[in-house]
Amino acid sequence: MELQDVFYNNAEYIETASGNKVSRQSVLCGSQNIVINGKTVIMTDCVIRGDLANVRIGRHCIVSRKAVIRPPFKKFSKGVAFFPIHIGDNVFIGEDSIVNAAQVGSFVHIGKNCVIGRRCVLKDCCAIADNTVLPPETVVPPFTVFSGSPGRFTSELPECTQDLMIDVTMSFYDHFKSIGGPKSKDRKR
Amino acid sequence: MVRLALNSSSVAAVVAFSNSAFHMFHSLVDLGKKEYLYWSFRVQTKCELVGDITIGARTVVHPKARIIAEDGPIYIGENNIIEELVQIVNKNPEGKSSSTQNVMIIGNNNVFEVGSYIEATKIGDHNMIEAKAKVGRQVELTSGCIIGGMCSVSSTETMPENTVICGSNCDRRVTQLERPPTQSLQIDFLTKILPNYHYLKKPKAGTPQRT
Repeated sequence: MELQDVFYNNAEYIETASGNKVSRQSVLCGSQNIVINGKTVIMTDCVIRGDLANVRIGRHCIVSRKAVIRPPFKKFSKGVAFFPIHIGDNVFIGEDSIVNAAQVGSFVHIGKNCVIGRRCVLKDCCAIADNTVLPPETVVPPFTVFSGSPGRFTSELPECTQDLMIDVTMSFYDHFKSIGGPKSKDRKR
Repeated sequence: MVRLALNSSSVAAVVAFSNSAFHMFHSLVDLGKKEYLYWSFRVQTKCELVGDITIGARTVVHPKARIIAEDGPIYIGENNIIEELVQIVNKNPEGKSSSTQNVMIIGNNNVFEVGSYIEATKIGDHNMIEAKAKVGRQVELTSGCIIGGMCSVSSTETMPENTVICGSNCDRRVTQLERPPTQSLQIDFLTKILPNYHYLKKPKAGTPQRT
């Protein structure tokens, strides 16, 4: 299935040399600590907290509108720290989701309006359904779907998940097109 | 307008300020020229602050938080953490006349996590409002309460101490023996690193902590 073109106003997004498309309306705190590897889309009103710890995002990721990526906090017997957060390649993060995870693998789908609790580990090729609340320190194994509040295992994913996620994220990037000029069409989605 | 002034009608505000003056004194002694980092409270400039708001010492307000005092003042105590996209709104429900001003008072050591929405006028101490939780206008939180992620409380009631609300059905229990741990270490950490990355809102001239 071919994805529909999504248009954005040229002035609204910054396209970097490595092909990242970052909205000017997003809030990137401590941008020197944020590494985005290329061809990643960061949409309007996203918040990425690089000031708390390093944030690394892989290639071909999509961070939808109003999503929050924030390094998790951990208290030790001696002192405190914010953990760096690593997000793999070909990851989709839905609208309004809050990602507090320590690690998100590659080929992961996070739905809309999710809360990923502190220091969760999302392994490769897993999916989080819409409106899920993952409690802190949950580990989501590969090829599983978690949903509900608190998030529980509900179903399995097929072996071709990797190819599906590569397909959907790459074609989303290809169909996320700019139109010049100040007038932009109402974006669907 | 964000006013930081003493108001004799609220004991909470007076306590907050007298302690913050004390705190300022200490930091000046301990850190010499670095007192700028130790202004008694920290507000990021990307926040939206509207109306008459009073914030106590050592409270951290992250960027993109919204504190809206539309129908009456908001008093926030000490050692609170207000994370990004949190909305604290003092607003009368629609249709009700705003002849009487409702004062919104938030105590000490509370944590408001990302994206929570608070309308309640009375919040005690040591409460934890987790991500995307909603607290309605008629609710009164005492102390040690935890409102879990994405839970919504909109009844007319006073929460007993140490209530925990969690899950998709907003199940609750009151049997919890200990209150959530204080986040003072996190506040210390944030106080150290946030000034490196953000412009802070400074208290207005003439507020008690400068004297």
